[in-house]
Amino acid sequence: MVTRGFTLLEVLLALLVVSLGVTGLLATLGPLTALAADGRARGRVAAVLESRLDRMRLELQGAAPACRPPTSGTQRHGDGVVEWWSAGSRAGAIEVVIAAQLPVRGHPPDTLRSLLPCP
Amino acid sequence: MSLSRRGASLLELLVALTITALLAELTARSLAAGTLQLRDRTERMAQEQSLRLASGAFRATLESLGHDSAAGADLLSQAVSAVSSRVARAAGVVCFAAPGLLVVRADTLFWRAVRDPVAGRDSVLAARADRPVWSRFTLQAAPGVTSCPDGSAAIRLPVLADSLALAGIVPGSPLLIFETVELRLYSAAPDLWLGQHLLATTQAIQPFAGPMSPAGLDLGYFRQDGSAAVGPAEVAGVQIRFVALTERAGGIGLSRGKAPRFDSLETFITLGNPP
Repeated sequence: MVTRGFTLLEVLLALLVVSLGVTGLLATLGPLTALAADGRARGRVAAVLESRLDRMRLELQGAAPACRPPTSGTQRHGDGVVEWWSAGSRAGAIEVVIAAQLPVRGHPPDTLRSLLPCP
Repeated sequence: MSLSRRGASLLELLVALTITALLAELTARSLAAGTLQLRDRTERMAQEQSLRLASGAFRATLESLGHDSAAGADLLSQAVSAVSSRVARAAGVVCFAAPGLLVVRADTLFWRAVRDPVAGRDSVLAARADRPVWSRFTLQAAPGVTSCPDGSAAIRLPVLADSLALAGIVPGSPLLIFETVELRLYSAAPDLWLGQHLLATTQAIQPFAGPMSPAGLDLGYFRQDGSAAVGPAEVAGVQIRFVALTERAGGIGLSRGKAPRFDSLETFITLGNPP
């Protein structure tokens, strides 16, 4: 009966293949991290848009009983998000346009359009 | 049967051991880096979730507040790291009013409730028909089942009110059940958390987001003209800055975390019906 096990070279090759596999698996963490970071940035943009809409609503209510469009403007936030906004009268309401840009090259700005009723 | 068995030489074994050790070290390094990266990302995501939860909880509470009650503004107190207000738990329509008793329609068309009213914890606001204000009443006992004068199903609300207090409360008057809630930064050693405190109860504060930094909740109160509000009755908008921490470092070796890191979120909330 001939019993022949693995040679040293075969065992080493197997080890090498397993090591490469583990390293490749860990490489998938990179895109996962990028996705999570993108989610965070988008959350910040949503918070900026929501806050600006509330500030414009407050400004509109503060001018009551007049229906005066809130002032336009631009602001850069600490986390790099840049927002700009404008407002105009439109048939008994105020139309507001708010845009926010992520601090990421090539990423288009997110825009929010809304109608605020005159007070 | 062949008896020719030649083992590995010492040199071959040493070379193999060296290669194995190198591979093992490389794999261990990759694993360690991956573990730390995964832990770091998980903590960051939990931190982000905390900030979103905090922002959502404050928005849900403050956005609906008003200033149209004869009992004053819904916002009851203002501080840098705490705010308390009335929070609606149910809404309905009165179908009968008598000293010590308010009866509201139980039909789901008229009665919307987050939970059943609780005596000693909830209060009642009922709108007057003769002038545009709300009257406030204390709920004295547990609500019961009854009928409206027209025979439809109703909920009986025992309240502390005489005929004078009930002036202007007529069938058709809108009614709100509310409780006073405080949202605050509090210490749950060794961390700081954001929690909700039901002021009319002896319940402990319920945490909903954290851990936070010592300056984890910074509230600013503004009038309609954008200037700083002095009292709760002047508040029309609230600016909030949340600063959350990642979970504290724990464990040993590869599982040990880094020092806590900060992240912040700012938001502005305009009250639903400001003064």
